Amino acid sequence: MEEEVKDLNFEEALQRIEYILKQLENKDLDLETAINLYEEGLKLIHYCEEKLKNARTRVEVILKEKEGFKLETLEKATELLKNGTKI
Amino acid sequence: MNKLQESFIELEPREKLYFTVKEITQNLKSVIERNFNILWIEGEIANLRYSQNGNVYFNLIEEEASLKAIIFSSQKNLLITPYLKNGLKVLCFGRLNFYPRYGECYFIVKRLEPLGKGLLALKKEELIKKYKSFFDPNRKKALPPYPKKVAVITSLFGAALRDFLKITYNRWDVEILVYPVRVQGEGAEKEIVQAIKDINLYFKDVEVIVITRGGGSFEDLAPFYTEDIILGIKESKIPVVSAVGHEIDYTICDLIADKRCPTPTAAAEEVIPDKEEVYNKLNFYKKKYQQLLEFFLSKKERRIFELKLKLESKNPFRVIHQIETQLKEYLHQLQFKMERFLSYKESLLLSYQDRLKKSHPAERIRLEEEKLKYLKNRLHLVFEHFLESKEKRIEALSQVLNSLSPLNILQKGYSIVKSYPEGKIIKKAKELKEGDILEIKFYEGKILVEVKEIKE
Repeated sequence: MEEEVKDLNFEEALQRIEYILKQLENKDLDLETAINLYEEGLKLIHYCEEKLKNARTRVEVILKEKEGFKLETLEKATELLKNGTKI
Repeated sequence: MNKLQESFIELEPREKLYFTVKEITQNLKSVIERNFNILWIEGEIANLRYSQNGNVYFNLIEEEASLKAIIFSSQKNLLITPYLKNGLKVLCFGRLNFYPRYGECYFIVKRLEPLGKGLLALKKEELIKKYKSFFDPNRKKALPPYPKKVAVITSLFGAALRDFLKITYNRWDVEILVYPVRVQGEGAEKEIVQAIKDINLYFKDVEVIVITRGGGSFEDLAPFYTEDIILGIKESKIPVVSAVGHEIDYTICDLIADKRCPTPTAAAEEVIPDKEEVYNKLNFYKKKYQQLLEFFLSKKERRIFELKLKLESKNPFRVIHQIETQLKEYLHQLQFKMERFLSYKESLLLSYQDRLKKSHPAERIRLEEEKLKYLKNRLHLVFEHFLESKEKRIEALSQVLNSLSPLNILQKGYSIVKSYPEGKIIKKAKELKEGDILEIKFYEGKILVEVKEIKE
C-alpha cells in the first residue's frame, strides 16, 4: 500500500480519501474491510498532510528570447525588464 | 477697492437689492438660453433612466460636475438610444433649457455620438453579439482543484501581480510562472494573446492561466475589449481565469474566460487551493473516519457480546452442570421417595406380622383354651352357687313345708277327707253324694267310710 500511496498525486489521493469516506459510510461493510479502508485512508491523509507541510510556492518569470524561453527569478526579471529591453 | 466700486456702480441703477424667485429664474432662463442656444457637450452618461413615456433621462457627468439631460421620445432619429449605458462617454448635440418651474437646467439632446471608451462599450456589445456562442457557460472549462503549475499573464510592475503573489505565498505547493506583458495601450491584446499561445504551446504542464490587471480607466482596459482577446482565450486548451478591471464592470476578457474573478486577489484565492482549508478538510476526514470506524467496532463489539451470551448459554460445562444438579435433585427425590416407600412397606409388614401373629392358631387355641377355662370355672362356680342356692332354698322350703305340713295339723286333731280312689280332697259336703266312699286320713292311720247322709 505504501507504494500505491506514493504513486498517487495529491488530487488522486484526496479523491481516494473521499471515496474511502463514502465507502465507510456504507454501514453494511464488514469490519475487516472497514479497518483496511480506515488504515488506507489514514495513510493517505498522512501523505497529504506531509505534502502540505512541504508546500512552497515557487515563482518564476518566463522571458521570451530569440531562440526560446528562459525562466528567471522575479527579482532578476524585474531588474532586467526595468533596465531594458521591453515591457 | 475697484471691484467694490464696480459692483456698487452696477447695483446703482437698480431700484432694489433683491429679486423675486420668478424674476431671477426668468433672468437665468434668458441668460442661459440666449448664451447657449445650440451646442455640443462631451460627458459620461450616468443615472440613465428610460421613462415609460419614451423619454430618456440621464446625467452627463465629468468628475464632480453633472448636468441633467433629456432625450425626448420624439427624437426618433437617435438610433443609439437603446445602447446607452452608464459610463458611456458621449458627445451630445442640443440646447440648454432652463425650467423656472423646477429651477433646473436641462440639456435637450438632439444628437448623440459615443466617444472613445464609449465606443468600446458599444463594441463590447457588438462583439458579444457576434461571438455569442463562445460565451456559452457550457463551453467553459473546469479549473483543476489542485493545480501544480499556474501561469499568470500580467505586467511585472503592476499592483495586480503583487496582490496575486501576496495571496499565493506558500498557500499551496505550486509553481507560478509569470508571463510579463503590457496590460494597457495599443497592441497590448496582441501580447496577451501571444502569451496564451506560448504557454499552450511550450508550457503544456501549466494547468491554469490567469490573466489579470488592476482597475483602470475605460481606455486602459481597451485591450480587454478586443476580438483578439476573444479568439485568443477561446483557442486556449488550458483553462483561463480573468481578473481584469473593475469589480462591477465585466470586460470582454472576463466574459470569455472560463472563470471570472473580480480582483487579482480573488483570482489567487480561486485558483490556488488554501493549505489551511485542505488541512481542515483532512482533519475533518480524519475525524469522520474515526467516527465511522468506531461505529463499526461498536457494532461488532455488540455482536460479539451477543454471541458471547448466546455461547455461554450453550456452554457444555454449564449444561453438564445443569444436568448434574438436575440428576442430583432426582437422586435426592428418588432416595427420599424410596425411603418413604420402604418405611411404609415396613410398617405395613409389621402390621401384617402383628396381625398374623395375632391370628396364629396356637394362640387362638390358647385363647380359646383360656376362654374355655374361664367359662369352665365360671360354670363350675355358677353351678355350685346354683346348687348351694337350691339347697338353701330346699332347706328353706323344707322348713316352710314342714311348718305347713298337714301332718302337723293332723297331729292337732284335724283329718283329711279325700274321695276314694280319686284322692280328691273334699272341702264341701255337696261334692258328695250318699253312698260315696271316702278316705279319711288321721294323724296316724286312715279309714274308709261310707256316706250315709248329707247335711248341708
